[in-house]
Amino acid sequence: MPAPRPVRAQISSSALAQNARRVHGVADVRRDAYGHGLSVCAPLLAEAGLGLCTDEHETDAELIDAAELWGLPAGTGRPVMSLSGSVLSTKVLRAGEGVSYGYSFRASHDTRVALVCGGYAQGIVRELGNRARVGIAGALVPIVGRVAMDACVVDIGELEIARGDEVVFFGDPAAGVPGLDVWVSVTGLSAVEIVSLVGARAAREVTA
Amino acid sequence: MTARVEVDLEAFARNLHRIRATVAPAQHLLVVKDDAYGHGLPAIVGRAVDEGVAWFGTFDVATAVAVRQTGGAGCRVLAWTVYDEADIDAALEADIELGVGDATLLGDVIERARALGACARVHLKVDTGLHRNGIRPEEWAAAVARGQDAAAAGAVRIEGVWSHIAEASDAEDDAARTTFMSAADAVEGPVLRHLAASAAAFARPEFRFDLVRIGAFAYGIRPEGGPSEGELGIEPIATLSAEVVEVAGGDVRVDAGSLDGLDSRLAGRLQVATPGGARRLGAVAETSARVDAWEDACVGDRVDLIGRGAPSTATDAAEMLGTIGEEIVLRFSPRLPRRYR
Repeated sequence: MPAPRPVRAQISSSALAQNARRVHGVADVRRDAYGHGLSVCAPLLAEAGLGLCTDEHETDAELIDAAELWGLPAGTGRPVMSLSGSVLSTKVLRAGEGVSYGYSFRASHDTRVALVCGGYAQGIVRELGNRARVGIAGALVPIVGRVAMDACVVDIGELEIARGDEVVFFGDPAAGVPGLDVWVSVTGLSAVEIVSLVGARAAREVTA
Repeated sequence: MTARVEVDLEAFARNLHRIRATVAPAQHLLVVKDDAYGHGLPAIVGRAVDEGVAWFGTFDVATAVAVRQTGGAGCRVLAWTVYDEADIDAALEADIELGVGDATLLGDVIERARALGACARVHLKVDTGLHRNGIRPEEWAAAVARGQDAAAAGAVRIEGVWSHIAEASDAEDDAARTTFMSAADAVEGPVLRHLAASAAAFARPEFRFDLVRIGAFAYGIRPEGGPSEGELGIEPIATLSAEVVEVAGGDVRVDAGSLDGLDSRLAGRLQVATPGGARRLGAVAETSARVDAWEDACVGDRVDLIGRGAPSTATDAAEMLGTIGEEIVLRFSPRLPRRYR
């Protein structure tokens, strides 16, 4: 059984390289490449022949649409960033019992819930409680109750879930996990400000 | 780039004294998770130790170890999340106390302490209704028995019993308190009892017990929809600020945008502090934002956007968006420099 791990933002180098090959011009990599990590992204973008607009060397040139480059909901590229947490514990939740601050969720029937690391300090916006789902064991399950600073609770029902199981907050919808589009529509935040904070606070790891 | 987060450590110290005076004889455990709510852990812990804070609380063990390094051997540090075996080892090594709210984890901690010939200091957490971390009341007796067996064998010491209330209603919190007291009574020998965070610690004396876990009020963040900072006797300590980088007709452009943690939804709603007085925040772009101009505005003028120096505290801004002050402060980008005074 794998141990739980802290929240991590995975940066897909293949998705970024693929997106970069479909565009031309100058890539905006200010603010640590919009939270994706300048040291990882800059070489990939340069290799694809793109110019770079950095915090140190800003340019007046027209910048590539961030949604295309980073694969955000308004664009057609592949999502570059995905965000995962881990199940810390699971427990029974009885009909009528509430979850998290203010009991904004109450169970309508007996079920099971999992405590998951990842809260608004890691950019999992507080309003997503009761309004967004996460990917777990190949299924999509709802976040229930208010998202706390460092953790949230998901309703796992009958799923066989244990401490250490991976939870995907957002990623590539083509892989069957939630996309960032729901986060944008629920919160009214822009996709770039969501990924910027997520990338700055979570542990970042580069994947293929 | 001129955007930064200014932190007033004198105001922080005043908040700490206000908390101590309010909760005494209970002790104040200062919550410093997430880089001390984004204020910068070393400066906050260092000043808190100077002001006599003896207890610190963190979410994870890694932060707790950082507190131990900054705060020295004299303070007590509680972490309430354990990821893996390396965390247990690190906690034992650095004398970090562990908040344990899951029977599986309790077993892991006991096993690891035995293997290392060490004694883990644990605070057992009972679930009094929040249904996050915490052992359910019907499973409590078994967990306590397991902990006490391990304590008799020297592998653990049960230092405390704790829980966390939902603040959905006073009646439900009262019921949670009753459950909590029964759970604490089920443990043999003296244990520290802690239940309250900021709001309950101030508003409800009977929730204070031995220790109160306070983060928000120490950073001057009042609850949304609750009493004012003045009524609570606390002051905001952080300010998000940036310089004017362009003056163009009816507005100026300041050097902080949504990627820096200035929430784009505040555009058109927030008043900010300028050398010419309060002005309206206009459009918020990725790396800059517009502010209505004032007479003699010039490049290099500093504008205080949110917090201590601004018309709106973090909680004022949060109330415009239907959230809480903590989330606004934690959106301030970790990439921005923190300046202390």
